[in-house]
Amino acid sequence: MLCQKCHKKLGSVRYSEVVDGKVTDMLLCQDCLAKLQEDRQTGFELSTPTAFIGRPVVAGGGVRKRAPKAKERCKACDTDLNSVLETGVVGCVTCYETFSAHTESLLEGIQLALAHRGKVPRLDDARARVRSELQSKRALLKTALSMENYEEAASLRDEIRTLEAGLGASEAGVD
Amino acid sequence: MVETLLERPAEWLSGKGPDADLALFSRCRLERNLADYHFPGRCTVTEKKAIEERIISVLDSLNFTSTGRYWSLEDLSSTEVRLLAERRLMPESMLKLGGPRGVYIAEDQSFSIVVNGQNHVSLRSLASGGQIQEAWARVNLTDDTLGGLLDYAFHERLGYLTAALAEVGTGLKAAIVLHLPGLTMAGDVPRIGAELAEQRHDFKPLFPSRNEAIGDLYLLENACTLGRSEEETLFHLKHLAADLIARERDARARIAAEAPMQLEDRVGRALGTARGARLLALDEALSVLSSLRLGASQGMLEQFSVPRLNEAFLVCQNAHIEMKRGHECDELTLNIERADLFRARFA
Repeated sequence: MLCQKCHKKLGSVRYSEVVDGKVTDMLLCQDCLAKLQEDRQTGFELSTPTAFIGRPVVAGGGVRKRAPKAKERCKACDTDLNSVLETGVVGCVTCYETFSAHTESLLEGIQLALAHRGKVPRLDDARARVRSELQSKRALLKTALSMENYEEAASLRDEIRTLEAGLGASEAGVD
Repeated sequence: MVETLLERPAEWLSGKGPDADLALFSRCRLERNLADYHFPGRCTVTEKKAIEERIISVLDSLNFTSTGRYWSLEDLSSTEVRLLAERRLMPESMLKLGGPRGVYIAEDQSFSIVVNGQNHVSLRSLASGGQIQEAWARVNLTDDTLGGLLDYAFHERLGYLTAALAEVGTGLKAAIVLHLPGLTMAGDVPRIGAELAEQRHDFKPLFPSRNEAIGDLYLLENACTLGRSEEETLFHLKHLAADLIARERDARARIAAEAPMQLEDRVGRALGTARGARLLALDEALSVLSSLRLGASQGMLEQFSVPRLNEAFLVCQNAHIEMKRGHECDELTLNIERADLFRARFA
């Protein structure tokens, strides 16, 4: 969902403030949040508790630190948390697990609910998954060979053999 | 080459379907990723190549190539990519991405599959007028077919996993493009935008320029993909579009009753510009077309049909003109060519 102030960037922070007993709740991008924080600090809106200004409110009314640890990175794809928070874009499937606390908080702000409703993939059989993985490894092997990347090709060949062995055993009913 | 696409009219601008005088076209986009790879933004060139080869081999095995063609981005010029973007078959942002990527385009130019954009696979379908259900049926069927052969990244609770958190869940972005000159003239658009934001829908200009909607064309799209099923998403979108269409008809009836001279003046001036201008910038051309389309659908310009005006919205855009000329053009040349095109079409 877009930032409710500039309507251009992706809103990533839910900002709440209380003025004269009235609660205002907005979804903002990082830039608008920083600008709003600066405006508030130079102005004189004494009704807003200074300690809470500009800090993203997370579910349950708690407050988390605005600047996350820059060192938090996804082990699978090396995407860093700051970039996820700024862009709302993750690098891989594992990012959803690695940054789950933050992605859930972002999803809460931009989505209707935190549970999927609708279609599910047809390919849910374990052997079909292995076959699919095999297909992708074979394609990778072909590309690695065409690019003369023999080290990667050797590693892929070993992985393919392992998968094929597992699939063969499973289909023979041994596994 | 891509210019062969220009030889056939785009079916999605044919003016067929319910409320086609107000709804220009409908579009469904379905985002999918393969489970075995990082999302394209984090893939190596080797991985992107493997993904592209895998998708192409699946399309081959399903005989897609008999009714369409896959274009690798490496084989397309920047003008050709912009032409495909103007025809809504792929996003122009594909130009800025790196590595192996491309697009499959069906012969009727109403369906495409973008490979290695922000996600591994983006299924896109276009349908004329407000026929969003037809657009959905096509992407849904293709998704079922591809899903039988490809292992999609899927999370039990979060649904289909996408690079953008804003698209996780169904991965479905459904949109209807509406022509709303009446509501624009009445100054109702900002209020409508705020109402639709509350309903979790985006309402944005199709051709944005300084926060204005050039050509009075607006894209109404679901903002949320998690928490609502595909059918529910389409139901809400159709309901909101129908409400906007009814409001636009009311606004037009009010203008026709209260300010008929202003309406006739607007349409008449547009016709004068279309027939007499020697230089026509894109913004002005789109505004002229909006007024002509308004006049045609109000029965004031019977000589111009809605499909003919719809097609003009497409062919007056820069890449279409450049493609016709056979090379990239400076702004002056584009404006001269556009004015020539209008004089020929609306004489």
